[in-house]
Amino acid sequence: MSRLPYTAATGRAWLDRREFLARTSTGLGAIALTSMLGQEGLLAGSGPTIDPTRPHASRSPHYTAKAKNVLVIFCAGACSQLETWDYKPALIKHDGQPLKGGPPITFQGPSGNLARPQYEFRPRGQCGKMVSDLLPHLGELVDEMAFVHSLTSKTNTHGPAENFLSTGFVLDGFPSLGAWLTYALGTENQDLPAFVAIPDPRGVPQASINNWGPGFLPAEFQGTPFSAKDPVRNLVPPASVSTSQNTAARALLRELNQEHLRHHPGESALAARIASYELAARMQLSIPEISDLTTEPAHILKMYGADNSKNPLKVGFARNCILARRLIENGVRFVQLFNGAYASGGKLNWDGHNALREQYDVHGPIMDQPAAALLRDLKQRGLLQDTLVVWCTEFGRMPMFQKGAKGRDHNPDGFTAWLAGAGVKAGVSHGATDELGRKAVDQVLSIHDLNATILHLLGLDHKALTFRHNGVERRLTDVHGHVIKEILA
Amino acid sequence: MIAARHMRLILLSIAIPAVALPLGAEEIALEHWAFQPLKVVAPPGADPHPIDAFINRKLRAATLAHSPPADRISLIRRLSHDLHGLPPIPHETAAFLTDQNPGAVSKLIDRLLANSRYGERWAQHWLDLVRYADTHGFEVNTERPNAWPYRDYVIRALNEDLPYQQFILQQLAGDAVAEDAATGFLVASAVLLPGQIGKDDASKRLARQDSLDEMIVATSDTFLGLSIGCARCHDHKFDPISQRDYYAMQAFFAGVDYGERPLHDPETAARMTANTKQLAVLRERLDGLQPPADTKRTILIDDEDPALTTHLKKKNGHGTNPAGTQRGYQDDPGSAAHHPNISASRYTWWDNTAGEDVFTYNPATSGRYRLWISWGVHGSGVHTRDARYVLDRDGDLQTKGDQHEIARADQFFFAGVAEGLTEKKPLWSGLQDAGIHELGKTSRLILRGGETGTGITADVILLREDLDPQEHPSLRPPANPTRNVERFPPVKARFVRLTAHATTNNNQYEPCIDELEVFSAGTQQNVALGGTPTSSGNRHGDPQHQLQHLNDGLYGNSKSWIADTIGRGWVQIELTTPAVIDRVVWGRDRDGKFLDRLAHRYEIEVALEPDRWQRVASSDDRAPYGSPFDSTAALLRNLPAEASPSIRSDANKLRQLANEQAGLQSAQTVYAGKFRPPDKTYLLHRGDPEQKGEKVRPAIPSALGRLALAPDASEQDRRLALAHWIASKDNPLTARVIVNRIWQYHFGRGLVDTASDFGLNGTRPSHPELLDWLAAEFIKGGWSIKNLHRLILNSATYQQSSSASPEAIEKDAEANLLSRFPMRRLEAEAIRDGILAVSGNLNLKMGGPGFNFFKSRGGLSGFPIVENFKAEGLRRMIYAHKVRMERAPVFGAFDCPDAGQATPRRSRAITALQALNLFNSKFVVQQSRVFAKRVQTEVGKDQEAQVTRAFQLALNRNPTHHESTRCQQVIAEHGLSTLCRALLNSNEFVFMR
Repeated sequence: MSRLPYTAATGRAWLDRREFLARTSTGLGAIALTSMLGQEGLLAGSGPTIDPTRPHASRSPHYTAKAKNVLVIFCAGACSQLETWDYKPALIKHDGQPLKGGPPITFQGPSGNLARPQYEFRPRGQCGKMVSDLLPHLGELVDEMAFVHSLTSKTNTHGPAENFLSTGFVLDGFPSLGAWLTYALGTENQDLPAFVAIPDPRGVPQASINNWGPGFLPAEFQGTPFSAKDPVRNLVPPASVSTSQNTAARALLRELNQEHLRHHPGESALAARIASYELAARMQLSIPEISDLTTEPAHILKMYGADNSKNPLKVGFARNCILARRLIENGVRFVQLFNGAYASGGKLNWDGHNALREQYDVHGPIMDQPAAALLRDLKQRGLLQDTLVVWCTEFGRMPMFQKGAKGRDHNPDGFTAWLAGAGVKAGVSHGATDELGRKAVDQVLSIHDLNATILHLLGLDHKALTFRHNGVERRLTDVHGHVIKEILA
Repeated sequence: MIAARHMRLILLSIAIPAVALPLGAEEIALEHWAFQPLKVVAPPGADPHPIDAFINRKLRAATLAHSPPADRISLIRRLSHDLHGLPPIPHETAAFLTDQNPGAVSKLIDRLLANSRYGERWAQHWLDLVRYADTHGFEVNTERPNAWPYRDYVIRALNEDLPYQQFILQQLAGDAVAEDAATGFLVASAVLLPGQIGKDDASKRLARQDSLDEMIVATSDTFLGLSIGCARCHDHKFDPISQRDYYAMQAFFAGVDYGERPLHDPETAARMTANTKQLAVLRERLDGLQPPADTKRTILIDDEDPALTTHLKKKNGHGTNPAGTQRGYQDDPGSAAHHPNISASRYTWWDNTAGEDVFTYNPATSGRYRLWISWGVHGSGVHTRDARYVLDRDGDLQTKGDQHEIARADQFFFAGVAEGLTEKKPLWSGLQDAGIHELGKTSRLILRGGETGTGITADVILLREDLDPQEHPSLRPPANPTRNVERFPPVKARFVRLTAHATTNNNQYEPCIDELEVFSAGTQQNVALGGTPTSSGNRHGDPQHQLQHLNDGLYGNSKSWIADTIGRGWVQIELTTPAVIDRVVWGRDRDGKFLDRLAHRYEIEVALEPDRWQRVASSDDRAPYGSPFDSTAALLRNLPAEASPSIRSDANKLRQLANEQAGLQSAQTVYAGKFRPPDKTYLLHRGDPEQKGEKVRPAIPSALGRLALAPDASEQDRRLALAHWIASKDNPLTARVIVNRIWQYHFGRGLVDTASDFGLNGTRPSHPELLDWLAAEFIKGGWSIKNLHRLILNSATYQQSSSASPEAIEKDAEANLLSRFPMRRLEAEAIRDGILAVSGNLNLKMGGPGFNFFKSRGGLSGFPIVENFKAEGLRRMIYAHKVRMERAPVFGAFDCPDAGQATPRRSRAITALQALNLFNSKFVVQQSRVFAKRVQTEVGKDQEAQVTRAFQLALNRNPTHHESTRCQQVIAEHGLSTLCRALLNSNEFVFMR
């Protein structure tokens, strides 16, 4: 596994700080290891023990993990299963006919007639999985993927459904999957955030920060949003502050804080805050470095499609894909890569209500080659052995067109996700929708099952990973969830 | 005060035993400590302060003791941070340090409690609990602009020390005691707006169920410390709350909706009622003067209408009217003297050559018409002063014999103006009468170059088949989504038809009409009622849009008709018997909420026999849709010269009153509970609104007592009954829960660690007797929160040092036993407010709409942050416009709740992002400079004095000798603001000790 040179410095910095802690804080050693969260009484005992001075220190899972890192490719706007992965030849036969017994009104209004898949499907890979011509590059990788065709959601509205996918609850205010993982496992690289959310170049998804928010978990565990285009806020001071002023302020602050800590020995939160400024200083170097894609060779840029100056959106997404690989490569625990922005009549994401074919012709190429290259690149670097890749979307789309339109309405009753990489059975499909793709009928699964499976692959029991909030022992999976054993290697 | 009519209910609920009904299997649950009545306890031991007696007993058991009293500096900082969320002011610190009086600390506590900063600080704790925000949340997260009166209510209630019983009552049923803003509590959570909910009924039922759930959760978690919400789908796993209890609780709220309503304030309300009456009288008196519909032809030809104009010479471009409402500007609504701007905001211009034809208008109609011309005005003096308008009767420009000049325009001036100066801006001229002329089908009006000037312009012209001499053409107001009146001469009719020719939003949608009223001549009798409607086609599937809604006498979008064709369609009513009628009144949505789907081009016809249509009104003689229009000004403008002065004065009065009324309406709306007759409540299997079980009536959880109301209890009575039961001294939970919360905010953790869960799953109290004693004292003290603060803050437990011996730290590492005062990081608000207080920039303006942290919300631009704050943005952070989910820049990272779920206690994480924000953000860097400037102003250039002052302001102490030397060195080499930046980032500054 190749690492950027600066990561080697991690150990040194870490030793320095340990030395510092030992030198300046009498008796701190023992206390620092007590969980600050425990001190605040937030944990009910089943959660991990967290060192307040190293909240992101790598922690052991409940049992041996198949995967160390997770990369989620999140297709905002509800990407149609019928135009991508869920081949329904019967829809071609019944094209233009009404759906017998179908809903007269769906999310946006009256239903029209059944409409054939808007792209041709053909068998791909060794396993012969039928994938549409919308995604030829990803289609070549079906032998790496385990498809789940029978997912269901609790709501047919984008925001709540994204909440549900990312947090297990339709309401606002719950911790995201990445926050749960970071809380449970910390991360390998202490110079980078444990959890990075990479928004699409077209904008943030509908539920925005909820997808990477900490909810009621402490703020340490929230995702840090940045992309190849938009850097982390406040990473550097305004230009009006000179380098020497900056260094002097930092040095003076350290002295003031050390002196203060000397008067309050044993206050681990004070030591934690000193440590947080050190991590901030390291991030000030590490984040610009990891976001600097000029070190990527031309053939890699080409492979991802980041060299295509005719399609700036594709380039934008491709650059985000390269950033995602670099983050995974450098031990970031959870990378959430968004494809598609907020509701915009399908212009900026997969929400194809009115002109699905026309809009997917734009969205497909933006995602296809870069995402496929990302998967290939992870594999060729050996990273896929430790990394779980999940492609998902908040719900699916109806087999009918909407009345008077050439697009499909929201369908929370049956849609597709796929997993690939560490611990996942390759080249299989699990569960099914009915012959028209209206509803999941075989092995019906919920988002909770998907999330339970992701946690399981990371070595976590979704029932045991809890956090006490407002009198309730909260879980990512609420009171539901079963690991989808059939797709595990 | 609780009104007398509610006393009956209070008595009713107090008479109910709160607990201890034998319920078999639930017995164990019922023995749970929190459900038992308060124990009467006496403080143990001889400590002068009862709280210390309880605390010391436990400390002694652990062979520990209190730490020594905190030093005075720590104490005044602690009290100021705790009660005000601000560091103390240096001269107050100095006064406190020298006050040797034994009552000095008590006096300080009283002074801090009496200051309004107290309410601002403690209201934030309450707002965390109720997840208050100024946006609606969820995916759209649009603004909730009138939420703030509730925030201000909480601040006021705390500052006034409103007894907690009343605080509860007002938040659940403030409408009963003229405290409407208090009911913002019921609807403080995020909610899906109608547009975000699916059109299918199941989605609507689920959304309603979710919004009701938020009310139950808010009420039970906040006041009772019980997580009743868990019983929505199944009986509670731990607490004796059944699913039935959940729905019985829900029934208390079955008539509560989310929404805005006028804020009850007797004085304004009286003024508005009086205005409404007077407005109605004036309107009725003046309605008859509004111009009747005119069925003679009216033709408007814009200079950019490709069908009815011809360019003879290449144009140079356009002049766009400036934004604004002044004369000739884009939104000029007209006045008593001139016509509103109907020019579509711009004119066309060419180089001017004397005698050269540049442009023609081609009306393509025949008959006798009065013409009005208009042009682009500009005060630069470039435009010709004598543009010629030449009528070419046969329309063949080669034949000159039939041409004759009908008007000239001085394009330096507005129409009708001939002296003075004109603004040097591209303006619309207004209309100038060009006389009456006979037109043939091919006639054209030529615009011909004048003798002067280098430019010539063309703008809209108006033709009316109307021979009456008129100073102003009396165009009727543009079609209005809310209400349109069509007056016409009395005519006998059996059929009335409205045909839509175009709809707003570029014909994207089918036309919608909420009600079509037809009035018998000279009366208020709507003869459309009971008639038979038919139409060109109806949109199917949506129960709110049905043909029969056209004449059902009900207004609003939810009772309207929508056609099945985009942009057009007709609808007609066959009256029950033929009648002589003189008015049709119609609208798209009389409630004024919907502006789309308006048929802004339409005609209205009547017939006595089928298909013998006679046109009585149309949009032709209305000003174009979207053009500015002031109908009172129009009334004044069109009043005949001989109209009596009293009519003019009525029209003027109407205008004034309408303005005042609009001001009053917008000034006092609050986002709060909206109340209506309650829906029926059903037990829902697995919480699924599609799986209804038996009907349920309002009742409290059976394990807690017996308060059940009749199924038909009125809406307000339901909430009052619930409020009185919660606010009763016999309710075992209410006083314990609030006392514990107050304790928690003072010490960082509660006696019960789980502040919103006193159920079986919650933590047991660390000091149960102390909790009961405090609750009893609280009730005895008249439920006064300030008394409770005094009680706690005057204890030695509170006033002890935060430093402790290594031995004490070993035994009481987390300060759970309170062997020292627990040190902790300040909250986001206290850090920001503190920085501003220290820099001297804090604006203490209270109340009203909040300031913004973001330039815009959501959409393509995301949440661009404000980095340079003016005075408004330097107010305390509780006055920030709180955006749900999206955390405030810089300070949101300090565990600011996102207002999604309730936050009974904030976590106090310490993160690198916080460090980056506080160290590098423009805000903190700027404030460091302001802070430095302040220090310099106060003590001058002496660096030692500067260090001392900076320490006093930020840390309320003098620097040590070593610190002073070191800091002077930093000032000398890197400037004073470098020191200030370090101080604002220091642990000593951001920790409460």
